[in-house]
Amino acid sequence: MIGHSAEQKLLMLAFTVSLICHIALFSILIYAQTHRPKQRPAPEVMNVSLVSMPEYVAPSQPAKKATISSPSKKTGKPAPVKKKAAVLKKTAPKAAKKKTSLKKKTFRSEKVKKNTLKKLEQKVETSASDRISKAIDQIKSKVSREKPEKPIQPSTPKKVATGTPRGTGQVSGGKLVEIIDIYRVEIAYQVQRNWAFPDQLAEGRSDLQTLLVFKVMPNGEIKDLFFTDRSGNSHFDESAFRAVMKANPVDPHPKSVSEPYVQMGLRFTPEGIQ
Amino acid sequence: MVTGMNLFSRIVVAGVMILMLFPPQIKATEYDYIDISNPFLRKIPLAIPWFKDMSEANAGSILSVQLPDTLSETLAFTGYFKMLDRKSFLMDPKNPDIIATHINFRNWTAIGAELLITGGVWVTDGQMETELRLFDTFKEKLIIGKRYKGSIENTQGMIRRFCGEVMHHLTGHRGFFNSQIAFLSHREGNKEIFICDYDGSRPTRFTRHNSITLFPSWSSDGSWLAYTSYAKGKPNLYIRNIKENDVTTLSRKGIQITPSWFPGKFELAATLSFSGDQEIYLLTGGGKIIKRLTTSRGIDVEPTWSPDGKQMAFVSKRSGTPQIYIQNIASGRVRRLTFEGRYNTQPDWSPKGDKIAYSAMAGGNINIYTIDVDEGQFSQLTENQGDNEAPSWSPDGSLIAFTSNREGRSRIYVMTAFGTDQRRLIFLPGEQTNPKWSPNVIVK
Repeated sequence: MIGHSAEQKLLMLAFTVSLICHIALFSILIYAQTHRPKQRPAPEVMNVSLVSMPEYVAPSQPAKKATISSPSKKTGKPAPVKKKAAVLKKTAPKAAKKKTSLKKKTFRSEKVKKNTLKKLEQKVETSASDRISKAIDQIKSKVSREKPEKPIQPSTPKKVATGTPRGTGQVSGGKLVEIIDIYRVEIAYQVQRNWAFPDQLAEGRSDLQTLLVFKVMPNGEIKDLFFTDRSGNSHFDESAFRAVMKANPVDPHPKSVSEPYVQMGLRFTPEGIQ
Repeated sequence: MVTGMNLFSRIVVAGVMILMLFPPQIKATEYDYIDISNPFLRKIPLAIPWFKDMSEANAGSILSVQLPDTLSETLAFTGYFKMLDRKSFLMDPKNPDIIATHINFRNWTAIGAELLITGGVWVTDGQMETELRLFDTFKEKLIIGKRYKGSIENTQGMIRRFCGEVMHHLTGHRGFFNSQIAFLSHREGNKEIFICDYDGSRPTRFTRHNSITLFPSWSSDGSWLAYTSYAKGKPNLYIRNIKENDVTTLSRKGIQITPSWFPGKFELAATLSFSGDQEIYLLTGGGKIIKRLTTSRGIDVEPTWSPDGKQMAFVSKRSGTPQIYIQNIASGRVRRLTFEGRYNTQPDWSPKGDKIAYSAMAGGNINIYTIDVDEGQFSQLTENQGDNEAPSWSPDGSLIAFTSNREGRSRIYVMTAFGTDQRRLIFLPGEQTNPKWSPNVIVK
């Protein structure tokens, strides 16, 4: 009988402990859920592309107003903003949406070029310098989210490592994290340059997404390449896989990086198509 | 003692259970993904080295150069491939390796080739044999291997068949390499129907009415053409066999225009006006009326069928301006498809069934658009290059042939279904308009 009551006591004890543990566990889970750092803050990546695109940095310095008024730069810069605006317009809910096709070959390219130039010039003329800086901010935020669409001059890691990042200034992660991020964007660009995928094979679907993960060794060798998500379109998946394979080996790690490897994740989407 | 053991074991069990509540911290594999949304190259890099001449006394040396060139041109026409320059190849051009065990795939991946086609050729007494292989250079794997045998005159046929295999691997369709294009050629005030190969080669005259001939339409077995001709003064419908001299003409009063063959049947829709109003009727291939399809007052023209034959798109002015409507054949229900602009005509339903290509006027110019049949979302495929009209889908739905006056005179051009790779298709004197792509069949 005594043994029985002791047993009951023990059971109570176990129950209490279990209850406390449950409460503790759930509060930890809830806490962790709300306080988990979701992703590295965007500005880190943002700086990166600005460094590798010096022509985008220039207007952020008010001293270089002259470059803004030069016609060759005029036409170059606002273009992505315009595109961005077009993209936004596209997503607006409408009964019928208008899209403009891509054209690689234009027969009256001269005429088209002239028209576009004219339009852009008009646009730039009417826009004040604050509008330009606004545009640059837009580019920045766009760049932070995705790779620049226009091929940029690939900068060597050495150059990136020594160049002082301008723009919004230092970021929390410190300089090493910054250098690694610059390096990662550079690798992504090298992969993108090797990505070949015909529009027609997407069959008009813009929701395809392929996620690839791999490691970059200090000598630039790509290892442990695998899919973390597939699009369901094998041609699309394979084209992404091949792009990474073709980029291998990529540039070696910058000198200041002494990590055993740099982890890379790439998200391939056919958004640029259409 | 027994109780003590029991107590101990119970504590252990309880402890284990509590521990199990805390699963070992599985590190959620969260990667920072960088977005890549713009393929640098919108084509597949393909390498086609010279073929290997396996015949005695170099009898196939000419073909070993000609065949890869034909193959290259045929595949390049599809718009899917970027042909790599042979000068960049890391191999002996005189002695190509053609089978997987001999090929050093790294030499191909190093120059960016994702696909590789090798070939061997044997020539004996006017007969030719060729072995063609398609490789995935990264997987170092044979995708397609075929051997063709025939007379030297038929080399093009063999190459086209292999190209059909390549396209089938990529898209699931056999392409359009056996298809033809009917079009109107304007000469000396007359318009006559001509027929050429899918790539604009071998144009031949089909009609000799010495009159105005319009609206060619292919039957889905590719052996009949229906069209309208003014040969007898008013627009009459002609249904004519491609090979034999078998012609049916309709003998009703009023105009008879814009025929469109029903998929898979010897029946066609056409606009007739004998009732006093232009309405679309379903006819037998012999020209007998099966039933009337449209019942709205005002002009109803240019029918085009969905690939399953359940729906028909057409142009009607019932709302005041020419717009495209879709009619469900079983229920008879009609819905308006185009709402943008005041002029949307010349619909052509894609072979895949999801889109309709059409011509629309906006800002004084006519351009080609495609519209999603279900969602009504449209894309403009041509712009800033004169008037572009009369779109016609290739039988695999990857290309669109059309008329354009971008270089002054009206001529026939071709582009991909996304508006890229626009180029002139037919090189003939005079003007050519209204291309109609045939199904991908060889008519015997």
